[in-house]
Amino acid sequence: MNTTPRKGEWFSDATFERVAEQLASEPATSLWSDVRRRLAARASARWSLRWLLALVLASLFVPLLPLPSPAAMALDKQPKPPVAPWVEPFNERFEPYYGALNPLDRALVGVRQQAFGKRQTGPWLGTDAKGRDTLARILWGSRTSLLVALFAALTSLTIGVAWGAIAGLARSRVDNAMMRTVDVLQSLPTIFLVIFLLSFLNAPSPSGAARSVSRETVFFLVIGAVSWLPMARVVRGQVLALRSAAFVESARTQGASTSWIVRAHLVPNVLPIVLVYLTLTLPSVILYEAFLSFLGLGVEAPNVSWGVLAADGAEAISPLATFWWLPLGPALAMGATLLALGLLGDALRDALDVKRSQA
Amino acid sequence: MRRFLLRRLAWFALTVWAVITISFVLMRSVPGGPLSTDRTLHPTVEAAVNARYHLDWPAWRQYLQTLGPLNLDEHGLLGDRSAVFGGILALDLGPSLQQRDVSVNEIVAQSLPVSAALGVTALGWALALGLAGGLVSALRPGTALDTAARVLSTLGLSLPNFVIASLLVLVLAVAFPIFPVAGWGSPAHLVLPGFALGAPFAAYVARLFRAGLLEALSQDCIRTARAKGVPWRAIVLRHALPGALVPVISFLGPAAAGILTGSLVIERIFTIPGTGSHFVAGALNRDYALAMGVTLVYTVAVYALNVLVDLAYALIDPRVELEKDA
Repeated sequence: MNTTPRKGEWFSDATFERVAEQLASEPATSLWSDVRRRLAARASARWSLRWLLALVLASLFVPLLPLPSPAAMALDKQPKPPVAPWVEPFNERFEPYYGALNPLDRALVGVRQQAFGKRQTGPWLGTDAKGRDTLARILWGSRTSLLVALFAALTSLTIGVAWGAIAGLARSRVDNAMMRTVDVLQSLPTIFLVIFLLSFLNAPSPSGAARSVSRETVFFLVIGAVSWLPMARVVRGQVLALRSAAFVESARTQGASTSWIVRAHLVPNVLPIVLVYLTLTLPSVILYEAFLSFLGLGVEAPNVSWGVLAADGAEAISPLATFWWLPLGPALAMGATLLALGLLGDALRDALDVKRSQA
Repeated sequence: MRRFLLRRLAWFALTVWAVITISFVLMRSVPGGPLSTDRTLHPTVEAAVNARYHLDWPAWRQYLQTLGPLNLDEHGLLGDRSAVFGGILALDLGPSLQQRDVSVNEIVAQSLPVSAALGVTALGWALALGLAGGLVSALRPGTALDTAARVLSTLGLSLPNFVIASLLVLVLAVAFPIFPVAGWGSPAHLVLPGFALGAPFAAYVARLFRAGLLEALSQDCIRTARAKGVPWRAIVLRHALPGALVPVISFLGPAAAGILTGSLVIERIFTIPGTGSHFVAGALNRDYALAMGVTLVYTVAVYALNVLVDLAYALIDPRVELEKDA
């Protein structure tokens, strides 16, 4: 671009107009377009996004796919080893047994039966001890993990961000009280309390009356309750730093209203760190769910989750007979997803240039 | 220093009190009470059981008995404690509700050494692998060794410990029977569970140590030392290492807490008779006394470890002020 003015042309209208035109024709670069460019330039970020997108789509539309039902059993059989897709791509043994489904899923399964009939994929990843297809169970199980992640993301974004922002903006006494609450909650060995709490909900009520809250509701509430704490801490730190930043002070001296400062200065500057912490929260929450399900305190059958599958896989290991595909499938699915989230988080942190902070 | 310790002690007391109170309230609010069974007991038996565990007392008295060092039954405040239900400040966690004639104290005393051995092994794996990996990749940045160490640490961070455990058992115990599949009793039984439990933390230690070392090695004083002709080994050991270890040490507190948590799963996979597996069994069998006792023991352990780590932190880094963010 040739914007260097010739001698004597410094203040001429022609030069001014030319420069203005050039500036207007260049695409505006905002922080977010920069971020998109930097992410796209990184292969690990591209592949992570692709994997996560594919996983989300697959778990949303899993009832539509020509998979065997995750609950249909074949009790007379041993676990079947995986059969390569090119050896047995499909068979015609589909059984529409799903247990309880919500209306939307039932409709999707109906569409699937219209489209594919009795056709289903072969046991590409093998079957478990009850003859259920491992691939179908992994895909149906991904729904639990993703739902938990979604729930944790929502609580982090609402409670965590609001709590941190209010603490950061409030006067010191309120701030103190709010952050001490976070401290106490964080210093509790939450996992023990959670297991302890869930054990109460395992108790059958003696009168046989239905429990007012289901275990899964509590499970989600508990995960939500512990997942917002780091976010609150990080947001508060950022808000505190921003509050005394020179550009905020200068906006205030120019008479900007508080709501303007929040909208124009605080939100755009808090958003990057929130995003980065979200990518750190999601893997830990997915692990948390898997951990509790592994111990038998998570989702209840016939629902599956990756933790349940990993627990089944660990149980299937014995020196007598190796059903290696049972632990391997969920391990690969979980490992790939957590890896993708981790790599995406790293890339996002670099792209947004957020410094690592202790929280 | 003393103020710091006192303040931490106050928070600690508050936390323990919260755990006791919450669990007491929960225990009393469970329909049917902690001792309810599927069978209907004969009224005489039920009265005897209630009297034994003092369920016939008013709630405030039960609470004080659970909490306090004082003995509230007919044997007098400091009298014979053998017939009371708990008294946590007197270090009595009460009888187990499911295992007959065994107290929670006995279960913890029996299983805690097992869990401690496992935890120490895991921490050893985490530090040995993490420090070695971090050292190698920081001293040879950009080489294949560095890349390998970083890929391994990313993998270690993204695989849950029970998945690592399953895969390890599959390869090193089933396919190539080098180590026992599960169980407890010999040092060989410690290797796989310790590794699986420590691996995620080794990965994190490696990351922290690599970043710390790289930062320490890029300082001006290092360049000066090199210019003076100090041998490279002495530079790394004497000038770079202490600074690079600070983040690792501050991570030890969370790591120890994480290892305690992880041991719940690992002990279950390898059928190790540790405190964690007792805790899970207690929680699943509605043995509230056992579950609460173990929760308390672990709360104390995590707290003590965190205080120790903070103290070590202050010793290593003189800039750290303990009073400020206690």
